[in-house]
Amino acid sequence: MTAHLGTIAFVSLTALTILPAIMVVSTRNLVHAGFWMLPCLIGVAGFYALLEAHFFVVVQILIYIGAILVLIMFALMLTRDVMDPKERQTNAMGVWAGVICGLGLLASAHMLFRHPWVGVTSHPGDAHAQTVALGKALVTRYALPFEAASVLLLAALIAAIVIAKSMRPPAASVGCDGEVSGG
Amino acid sequence: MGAPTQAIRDLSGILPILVLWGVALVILLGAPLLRRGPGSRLAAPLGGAGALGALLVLLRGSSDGFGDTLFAGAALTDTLYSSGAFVLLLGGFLSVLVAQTYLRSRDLEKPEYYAIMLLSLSGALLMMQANDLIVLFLGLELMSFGLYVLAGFARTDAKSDEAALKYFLLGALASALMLYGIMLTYGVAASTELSNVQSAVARGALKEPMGIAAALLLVIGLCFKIAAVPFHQWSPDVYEGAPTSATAFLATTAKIGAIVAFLRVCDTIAGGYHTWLPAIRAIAILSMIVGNLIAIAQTNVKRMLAYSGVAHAGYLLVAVACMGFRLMGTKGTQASILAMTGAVFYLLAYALALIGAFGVLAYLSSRDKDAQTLNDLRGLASSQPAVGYAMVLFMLSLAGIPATAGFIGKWQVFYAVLTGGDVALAVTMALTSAMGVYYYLRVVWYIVFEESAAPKPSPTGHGVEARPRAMTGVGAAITICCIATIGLGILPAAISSFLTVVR
Amino acid sequence: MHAYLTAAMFTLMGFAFVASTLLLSRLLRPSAPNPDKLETYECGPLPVGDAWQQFNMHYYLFALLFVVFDVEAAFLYPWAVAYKQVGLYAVVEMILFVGLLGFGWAYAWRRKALEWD
Repeated sequence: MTAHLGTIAFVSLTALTILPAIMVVSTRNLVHAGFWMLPCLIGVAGFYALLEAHFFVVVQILIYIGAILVLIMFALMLTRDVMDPKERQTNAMGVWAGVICGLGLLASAHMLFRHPWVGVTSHPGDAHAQTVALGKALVTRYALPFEAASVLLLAALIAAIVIAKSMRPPAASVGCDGEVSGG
Repeated sequence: MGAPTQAIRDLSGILPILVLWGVALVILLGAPLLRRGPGSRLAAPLGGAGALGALLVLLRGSSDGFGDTLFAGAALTDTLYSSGAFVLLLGGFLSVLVAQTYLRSRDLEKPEYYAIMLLSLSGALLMMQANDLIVLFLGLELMSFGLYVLAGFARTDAKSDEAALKYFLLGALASALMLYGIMLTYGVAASTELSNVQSAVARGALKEPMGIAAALLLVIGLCFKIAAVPFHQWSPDVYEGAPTSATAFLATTAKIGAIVAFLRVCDTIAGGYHTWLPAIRAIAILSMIVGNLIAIAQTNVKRMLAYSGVAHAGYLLVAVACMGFRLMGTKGTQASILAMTGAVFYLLAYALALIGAFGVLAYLSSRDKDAQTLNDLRGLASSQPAVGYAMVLFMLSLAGIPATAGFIGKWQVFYAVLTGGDVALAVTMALTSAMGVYYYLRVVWYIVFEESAAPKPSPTGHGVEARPRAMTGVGAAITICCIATIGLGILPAAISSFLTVVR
Repeated sequence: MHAYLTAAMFTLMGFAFVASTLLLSRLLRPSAPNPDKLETYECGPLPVGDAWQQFNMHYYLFALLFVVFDVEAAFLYPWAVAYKQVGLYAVVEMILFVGLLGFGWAYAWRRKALEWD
């Protein structure tokens, strides 16, 4: 019964991840494409739940949906309306790209099916135990990468400010022209 | 012994990185003071002090605990790291000197440039010190982030923007592929620590499809960073579009960091050479041929140096390929050791010649003229002999002409691969090097034998500026590069023994 | 697993509630279509132009700052659960981690990246 339920969950999560992913790359409206990422990322969070990686479910929703998706939406709003409906979405190399990606997919599938999965040897424990183990690993075994990640974030922050602030201020449109006040 | 002792030992092992981080933070903290006014003269010296300080800390570091792993196996110190770090930090210091003059003359100088440079150097160091693929990846990203920004530092220049965007998009793709490879490595080895990966390889992990995919993805990711064919498409546009001082920095830093990491990774997975060695050999041969062929057609010196960089990536990959010979008998082991020291020497010679060459371009640039093409070098030997003949020397070193450092580097790699018994690679290397001589000598021809396009320099031309600017950073960088290139070409033993016994 | 089952059921119920409310209101309300009703609501004034304009770069900086500190918060959580078992070492490390990012924040502040100029 449980195995059955797991299969149902897996199949529906796969649909929830892949179909929106196709929409992300195929829709003509960039903002819509951004929003299609939402169900896709929720689907990934669902996979983490299925694998009982509880902390990562939260991280996936908190960071990917809560922050990175918002960042992407903001980035999209920096663009002009670039998607002319008459513009072709593929070019001459599109077929070849498709063929290569298809081969890559087949190769990945082959690789994954052929791999002698040894299976999980020990259960990772409940949500609390997992989080404690993760927290301990972060400050002991992975102390160096942990601090390096902090420097990496700092570098990204500074880099973004340097790039954004060194822009010549736009001649006229200061402030938020994009917002037509509501409320 | 208690935890504090361990912590101190760990920290002293990464002291050069800490110095770089510290100085970068100081520069950022003082950025408002360093941006304009009298303080702006201090930004470059601070950046230079950061690189030089890290270099001194590296050389003076205590030797106890050398060769151990640090941070519970996340990092390590060994000869490959310390010799590679020496080359990297020296290149970083010279790049600061080039940047100081170039940014000022192009009106681009900002203190953040040097802070980002130092952070990028620390990333490359982390990458070289990594004993864990996660650390390697973080180092790679930290290095690359800085390089993307420096490539786009001239924000009002569309070409610079384009360079940054291309570099970022393709670099992100490469990072994603590499991360996928690391994930699959975890899938086969149940660990990302290199020693565990090594034992997994010894158990035959590289015979499984997943292991093969992991190894190939790692190779592809690193090949992107060193711009080897067919992952080189970004490099000409980035080299051309980036501000010249940033080009000098990114060309050397990315290559040194990635090649040292490449050597370490391939040394680790030497047990499964049958999986990755054919791929590396093919990429090396392609890079040597394609890089040298396309370089011939270039009239823009920065683009030419980009394609020559592709060819040099090929020569360096020959050394990487030698890592695969390690377990093939005593000859093979000898070849892998020779290749490792040879590659580091090669990187040193390459960094000196390349920074020198870009330094000359930076020297010739002024506010309204960015020297890039062969025409800009026309008749340089008669109009500005010192700079002109320096450029000639750097071209000869890049071509690998005897009595320059470039020759010794190339010879060492060539000798290593012959010791390993790989005649095909050795022959390709020799033939394509001969091919490369053509386009380097063409630059020499333009400098020495062509008449200057503008017979008399205009009142604002470089003839007038030359004297005061020789005293600034770029002059010093060119001088150091010249002396070192000749010195290493004549007395290679000095640095070779120095590099093998840095401690 | 059961916790997620509860969450899934809750989500389903949420969707069902919204759907049934909309359906119910459609059944009960009078239908009087009018093209003006399809206009974007702007407190009365007629909207001008397209809603999709090029936004100010500053939005992006704020979003990026948010991502950085969101990631920091995500790291803080497992640390907070575990730090008592590791002790001083963990505290020092987190101070470094937060300090570095706090530094980035201070830099952004001084660089006036947080101001709407």
